[in-house]
Amino acid sequence: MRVALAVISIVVLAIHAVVFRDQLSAKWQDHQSSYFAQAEKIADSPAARATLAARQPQIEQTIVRSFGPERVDRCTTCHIGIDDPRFEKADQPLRTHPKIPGHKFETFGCTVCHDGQGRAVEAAAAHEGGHDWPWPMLPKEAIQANCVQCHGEADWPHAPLVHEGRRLFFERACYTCHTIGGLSYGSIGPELTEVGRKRRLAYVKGKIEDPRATNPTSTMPKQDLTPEQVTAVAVFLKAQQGARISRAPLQQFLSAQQQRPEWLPLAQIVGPELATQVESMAPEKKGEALLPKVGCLSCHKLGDRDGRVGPELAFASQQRDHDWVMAHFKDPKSVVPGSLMPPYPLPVDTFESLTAYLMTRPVPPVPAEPAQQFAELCARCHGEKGQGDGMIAAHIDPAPRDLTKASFMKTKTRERLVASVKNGVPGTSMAPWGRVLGDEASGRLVDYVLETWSKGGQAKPPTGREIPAANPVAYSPESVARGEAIHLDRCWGCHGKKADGHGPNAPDMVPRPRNLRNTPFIASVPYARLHESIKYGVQGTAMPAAGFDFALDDKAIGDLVNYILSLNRLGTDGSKVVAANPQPER
Amino acid sequence: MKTEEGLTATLKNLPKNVWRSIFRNPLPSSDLGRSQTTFSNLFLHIHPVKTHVHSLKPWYTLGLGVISFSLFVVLTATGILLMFYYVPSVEQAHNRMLDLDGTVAFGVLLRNMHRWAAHGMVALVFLHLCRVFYTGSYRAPREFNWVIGVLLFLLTLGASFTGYLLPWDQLAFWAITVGTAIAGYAPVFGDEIRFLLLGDQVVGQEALIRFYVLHVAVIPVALSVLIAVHFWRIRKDGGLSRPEGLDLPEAQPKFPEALAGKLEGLAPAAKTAKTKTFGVMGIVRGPFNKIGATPDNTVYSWPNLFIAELFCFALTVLVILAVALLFHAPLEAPADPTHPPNPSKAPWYFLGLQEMVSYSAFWGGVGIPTIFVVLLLLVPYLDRGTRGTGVWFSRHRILGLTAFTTLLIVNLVLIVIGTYFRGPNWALVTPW
Repeated sequence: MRVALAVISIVVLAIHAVVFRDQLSAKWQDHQSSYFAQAEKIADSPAARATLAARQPQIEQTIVRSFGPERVDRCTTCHIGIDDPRFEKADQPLRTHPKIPGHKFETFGCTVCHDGQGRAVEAAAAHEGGHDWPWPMLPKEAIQANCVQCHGEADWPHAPLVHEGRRLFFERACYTCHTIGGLSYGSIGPELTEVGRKRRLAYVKGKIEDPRATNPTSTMPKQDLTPEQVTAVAVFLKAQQGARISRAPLQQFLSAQQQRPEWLPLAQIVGPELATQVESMAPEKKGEALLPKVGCLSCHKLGDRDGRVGPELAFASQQRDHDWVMAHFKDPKSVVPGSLMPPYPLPVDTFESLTAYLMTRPVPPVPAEPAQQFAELCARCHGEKGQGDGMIAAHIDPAPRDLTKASFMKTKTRERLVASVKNGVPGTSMAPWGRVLGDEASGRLVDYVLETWSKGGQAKPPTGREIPAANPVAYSPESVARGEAIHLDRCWGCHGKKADGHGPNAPDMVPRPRNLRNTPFIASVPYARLHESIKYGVQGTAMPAAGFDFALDDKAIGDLVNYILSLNRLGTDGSKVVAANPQPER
Repeated sequence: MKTEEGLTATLKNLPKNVWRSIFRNPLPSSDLGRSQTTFSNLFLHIHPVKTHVHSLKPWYTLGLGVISFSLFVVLTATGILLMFYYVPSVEQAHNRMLDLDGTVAFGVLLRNMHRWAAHGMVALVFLHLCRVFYTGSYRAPREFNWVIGVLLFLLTLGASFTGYLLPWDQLAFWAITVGTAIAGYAPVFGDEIRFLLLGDQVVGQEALIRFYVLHVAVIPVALSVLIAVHFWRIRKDGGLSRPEGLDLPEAQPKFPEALAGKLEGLAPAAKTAKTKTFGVMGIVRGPFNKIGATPDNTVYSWPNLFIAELFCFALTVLVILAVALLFHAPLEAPADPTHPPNPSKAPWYFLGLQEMVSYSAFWGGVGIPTIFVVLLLLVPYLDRGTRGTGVWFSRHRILGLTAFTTLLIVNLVLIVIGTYFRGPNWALVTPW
């Protein structure tokens, strides 16, 4: 026991020796000694030499009180030569700092511009600040993110990256989803007003490079940006630090009070120069000039630019009319309820000019062969091999049909498939291709799809089904209530309690259960098809034959249809659904 | 001449006289000296003059109680030094941490020691509690000392929890936000308890100053008082527990290592208690000091007990110093109430609670822990058996051992799940 005690005591003493050694031989002392020695050599007077010889290493610090919360910067403990012009060629940490007129080190300190952890006197801790420090030292080119905290003017010439980042923030449609206080008011993505204060530059950069890197369910589109552009956007975002030290408190208060405006001034989005230029242009020309600048092409495809998120716009004039496009601009979800596209905060006349451009733009030629047509027009959504996994499929709701699923494709009549191609499917991203292709070519394209992709299986369109042509139950609140009761008994597991297609079983199903609140879609489907789908199920999907599985008679199915119509504020006049209220509830 | 000689002698004897005035006895070489040294020194007299040999068996106590106390001493010493630099203000607290880590002499070592010793004390006090349970030492007449021990464990948790907030980094802020939110699930007074703790609806300046006062004054004082009572009662309850029958009248001293001369000052076997003299206190009460009726299995505390305690203390200091030198206490970004990390986790010893809270806020956060604590407090009053006391894992106590071990393992599993297997949104993740 005594021996053990003695051993332990000796080890404790040894540890103390290590601790004292660490304490008494810090790196910064070596740096300072080296500075004193070098300065002594080049000192010009004996007096200066004597002063230097007498100096002992000590911790140097600047207390910065004029820029936000008090900072203590001890950087000069190692970087002791920053204001000594004779050390311009010295190695770091002793090198002279370039002179910046009006910026005195003793007023500004170091971290106001450079970031980093000013209280530390050990290089790694001071520069990186530990694994969680939100403000590690900025790389040289990113320092301008801090310059603009004071030099906030839009034309300040020394912050090119910040300005370029701001331009891209609008051109790439970031502003439509994200809010930056006083600048943009998007509500789909996280607010970025203080992102520069909260996040490290590397994190912001990584998020732009790959939005799903840290959040696998992010719906943010991956932008096609060069590395320089990524840096520019990241530096611009790093400059967003909420409270600006250069702004008066009253100004900050007032800008925080600002309500979300209905639209943003064009000049804020595309810059004052282009905004003035387009003022006198004809609507189509104005639209042509603005379309690439307000963010459309960071998702959509037009000409040689492709955002790889949204549908192609080149055929808009053959597929949609003016009213549809305008309604889509004002609120994309009013015509495609599952749309990912945010409502654009643009003035109405900009919408008009963009619409005018899309409606008058020459339509590109379409290949004659069905195989090429498919590859060029359909594969973007339905995938190169028709599996419903095209480049933009992940962003589309309802998802593009998997054309290789023969059990679905072969049980639908050819007429119905051709009609879907020709007229599109309202309420979804399936556009009408009839005017682009022509009637005959539409039929040929369907035949090509059936032969090439929907192979296998002997399924045929069913015959001999008993389907009433008109609803056997008159539309009434009682019928709707009965239908709702059945829905909450039998249907909600997949279609959801709100009938929005998000039931608890839905995530496992391909294709996903129909959103029964998709008004444009429901309004486009004749009564008989709704009745048939419920009674006999939909072959090739998870929809069961509810008429038989759940023993629902035709009247019960009629109640269900009435319930679905009521969700969409639609009425019925017997055989055909008509819109009772053409403006669907938003 | 004479005065001169007198002066020389005075000066010559000065060191000796000063030393004697402080330490009344020379280093003891006789039994009388050992006794006198023990009871005439304030810091030693809390010990008995003689200690039962069974209490000195390292594998019986594992030294856990002494190590826990040593950690408390280390924490007090480092804590007082840290108080010279710490300011309990939301503007300054985190900056003071950065100063400690960067520029204060030995600051980083102090902070590391304090942090690791705090975690260690929670663990060691709990292990001590386990030791006492597994040896059945809580049984009569030591019931109330067990209750005090449980209270000491809860106070240790309280001290660690209140200290958790003080660095004012993200870890601290959100751990306390989560921890105090659990308190809010208490029935009827939940929100009031939470408000009392925080002095506000959210963790802020009020909470910081409250936690600071609790951490540096209220809880340490309460701990010190209860520790004193805890020690006092060990003596008053007849020393540490030991198996029945060790000191029966017909028994001979049973400790061969003592007989072989490994321990100092053991009464030789031939010396029966008849020749032993007793102080008045020994006659008045106590379970075994029956004159002439029991064999003497005790040895002098000086040096046998003291050197063992010193060993535990030195070992504790060594380990804490080594850990503090090798591992830095974490310090995250400054607290930002608008930027919660995902997931926000409570301190590790509360992660079992947080895990249970993720199933049921009331039962996990309040109901089950309360039941646990009440059960712990009642243990000595529920188990009135006498067989198997003073023996590790006695077969006679199989029911109690099984129940305790089951709850222990459940808690440990929950803590491990909460610590390693919970990711963002408290979803199950694999740590590898």
